[in-house]
Amino acid sequence: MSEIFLFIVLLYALSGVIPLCIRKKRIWSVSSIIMGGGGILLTLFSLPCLLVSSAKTILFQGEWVTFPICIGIDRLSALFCILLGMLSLAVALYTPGYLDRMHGNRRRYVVSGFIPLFLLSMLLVILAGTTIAFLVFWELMAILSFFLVLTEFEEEKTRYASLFYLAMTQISTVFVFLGILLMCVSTGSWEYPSHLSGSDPLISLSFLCLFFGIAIKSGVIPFHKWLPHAHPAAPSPVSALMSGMMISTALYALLRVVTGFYAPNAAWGFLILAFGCLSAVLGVMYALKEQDIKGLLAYSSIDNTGIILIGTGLWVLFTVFGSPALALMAIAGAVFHAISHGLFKGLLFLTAGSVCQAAGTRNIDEMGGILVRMPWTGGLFFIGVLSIVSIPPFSGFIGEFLIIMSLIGGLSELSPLLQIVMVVVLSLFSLTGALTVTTFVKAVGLTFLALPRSEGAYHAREVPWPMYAGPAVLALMSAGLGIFSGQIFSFLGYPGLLPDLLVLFLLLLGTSVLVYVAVWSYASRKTRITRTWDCGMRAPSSKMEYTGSGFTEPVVRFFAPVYRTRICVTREYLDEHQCLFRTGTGSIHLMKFFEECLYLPAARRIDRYASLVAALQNGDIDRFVLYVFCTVILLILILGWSA
Amino acid sequence: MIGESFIFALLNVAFVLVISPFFMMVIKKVKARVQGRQGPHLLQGYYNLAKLFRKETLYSEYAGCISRIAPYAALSILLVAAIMVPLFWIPEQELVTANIIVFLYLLVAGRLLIALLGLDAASTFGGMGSSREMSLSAIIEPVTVVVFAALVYVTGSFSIHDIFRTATTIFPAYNPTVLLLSVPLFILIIVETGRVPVDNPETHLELTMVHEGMLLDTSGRNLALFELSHAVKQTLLMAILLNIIVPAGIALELSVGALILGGVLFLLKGTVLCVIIGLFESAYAKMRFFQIPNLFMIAFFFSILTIFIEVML
Repeated sequence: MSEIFLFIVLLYALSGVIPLCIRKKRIWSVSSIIMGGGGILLTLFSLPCLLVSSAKTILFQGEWVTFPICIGIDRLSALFCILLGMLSLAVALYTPGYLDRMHGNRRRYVVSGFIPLFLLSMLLVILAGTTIAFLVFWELMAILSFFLVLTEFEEEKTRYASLFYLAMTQISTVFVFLGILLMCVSTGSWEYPSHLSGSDPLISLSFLCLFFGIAIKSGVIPFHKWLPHAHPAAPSPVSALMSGMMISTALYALLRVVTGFYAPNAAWGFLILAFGCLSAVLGVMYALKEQDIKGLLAYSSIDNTGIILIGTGLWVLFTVFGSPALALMAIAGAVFHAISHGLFKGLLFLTAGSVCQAAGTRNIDEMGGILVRMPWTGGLFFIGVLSIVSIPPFSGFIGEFLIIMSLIGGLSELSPLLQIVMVVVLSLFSLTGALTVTTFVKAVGLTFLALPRSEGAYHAREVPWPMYAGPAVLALMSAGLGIFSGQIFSFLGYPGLLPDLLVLFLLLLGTSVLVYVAVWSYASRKTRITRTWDCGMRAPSSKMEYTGSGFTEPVVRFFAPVYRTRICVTREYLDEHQCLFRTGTGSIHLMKFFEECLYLPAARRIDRYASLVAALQNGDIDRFVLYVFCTVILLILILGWSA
Repeated sequence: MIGESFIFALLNVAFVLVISPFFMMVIKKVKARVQGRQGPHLLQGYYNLAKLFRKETLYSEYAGCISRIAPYAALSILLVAAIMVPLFWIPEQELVTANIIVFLYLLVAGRLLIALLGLDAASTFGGMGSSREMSLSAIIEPVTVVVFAALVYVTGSFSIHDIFRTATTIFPAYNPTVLLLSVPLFILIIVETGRVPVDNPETHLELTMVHEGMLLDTSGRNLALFELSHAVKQTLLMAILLNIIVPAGIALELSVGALILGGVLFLLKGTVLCVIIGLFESAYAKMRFFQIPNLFMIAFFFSILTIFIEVML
């Protein structure tokens, strides 16, 4: 068992080191093959762990400077390992083609070398068995992803994004470190604790620290600001991994902490639920307004994080208030959604990356007509969309369905106060679902359908086959997980949680065939391709189509208090009575609520404090000697006093 | 048992397909009469469909595969949804899950396809229609879920079959929760089928149209399929309202007499509801687009009220 695991680690490490050391042309295709092999092996290796037992299998044990390091696999980590394996395979297929078309020479070697190492660090986070190992790999993951975000460093926006990301991810590490230290103080060991409880304030404090550390990493609103900057700035395979896997890794940590480390506590349940609702609703609302397709997907990751948080929070509440059946439903929904989100978000980012590369832009308003030009990529993107807007029987549906069922179930089982909470969460949750549909109708409709809106989109061509074979793996998984979800759940020992979607799928298929055959044989088959509507002009141009901002304008009007759009109008008049208008400007601003009310005040305060400290350090040698002298005097005094 | 549910599926789907165009025409007739016109013949719906199926289909030269697939997929999705909603007979076993949440998400799937179709032909009207449709659906969706949650809460079951079965036994005619639930369910029909005051199915004026805007570029058999699926959707939503507030006559076991009685009674109940919808439509003017959320809030309020009353009772 552990030999196979070490071999997998070796494969990942090898495929990371090869392109960093050997500068041969297209060396990344070799390293990708190794990485893909590692991914397949990892999936096969994790499957039995998923089926056989829920007990932990130790794979590696050792010590690092007196700290115990342990690596083991159990059911929860096996699930995320499978996700990681599948994403590795997809990215391995996709990356060589992407790198071939990328500009810049040396950075391509760096990207192809760092991707497997980044994957390896995430794998080790998932499999870590002691808190200190977890922390080390967590930090490694942060640093590697920082360098990957920095790939296109010559762009001002990328530098800003990666620095922002570095700051936030370090704050996250600080919180996680603090939480782990506090936990060590209260339990006295670096092992993963199990179901800590009691009124010790250290325990609550350590939970809060761990929660905020993880929340920053998984982009929970209001700690999300780095995510929509960093994810789009990275090269597409990296964005796919960051959104598909790094967020899932953070969520794995959350699930592990909430369900394993601590005994459920109602207050924490409410906290998680509140952050979940906030992230879900605001995440999708910002996604709706976003014009950058990769930014839209990044915001939608925040919304999905929120959904998983809602499921986790519900698990805590149901466990505390004694409805184990509903609790199981909620946590099953959360875990399933984490896995399926990883799959379909990877799929969406990879296909969107191909489109951006082919069209030479990330702006939705400059795309259009891509489906005709890139049918494979477009079709796969569409499957991802069906999944993310939770159309049965695709995989995105299962998680949302289980969470909705548990919410409605909670409505009829719990006490009146909690019933009100359930109604509120239920309405917010379904609002999220509905807005997701609107968001992705915009994403698909304006990017892939109708006429191209720019030269780049007009000349877009289909990518080489490995670049859609990679996403196709994820699309198959996405559809398969949904269709066979009932079977999968009963195989894992939770029968009857879900209706049988296989029957639904077969019926949908059968009915479609019947309808098609009936129409084909009885209706007229005459078909003509023509101009259906040209408004009396010679030919409709893409200027006449709806734009992204136009498409979402009604929703923005409906939810004006949330978006806080500011309309700025300046007018100049020719006369003093302000009758004769001379000139003026008008503009619509989206107020960046969190940036203006949370980040900037905090930054200003730190800045002010830092300037006080900076006054002490003026670089003058004499001054520093004085400091040293004062310190020594002070020490002597204190020591003398205490003696 | 499985044979019985197959018979049910076939009968139910066939019945829905047959009566849906009739219900559409009843509403049209009522509206015409209120306006002092003669109105179309009650069978005109069938003639229209037959005509459209015989006509040539035009595709926009800019349209992709969505325009080719969406008409078939939209109708198939609604036909599968039709298996979930029993009209006149509740079988003992469900062929496919009749979970009300799955039903709801199938409706979402249909809407997604039509909204994409609106964008596919590169015309402004399509974009306008799908933008409006998706904006409205973003607000009606939470209301729908809460209405259905109230329904589940009152009847204690997720399966539409069981909800109807409970309705036949526990509901006395003037139960307050039933009356309260009927208001949001009625508003749901109005919204989902695009009727005045939310949308106007008769107009092709760019200021007002929502649903028609998306279908402006379809023709021939595709248009017929969309009209049929629209009618089927209306019948299904009507069936949910009818079989909960007046469940009388719905057959519980397989016998020819009971089935015929159930079918005829459903036809009568449906016609009465269509008359009410027609009168309702005639009594209101089209609302301003940005005022529509107020209507949804009424539905939301009533379903929350249902839950609270049920908690207190």
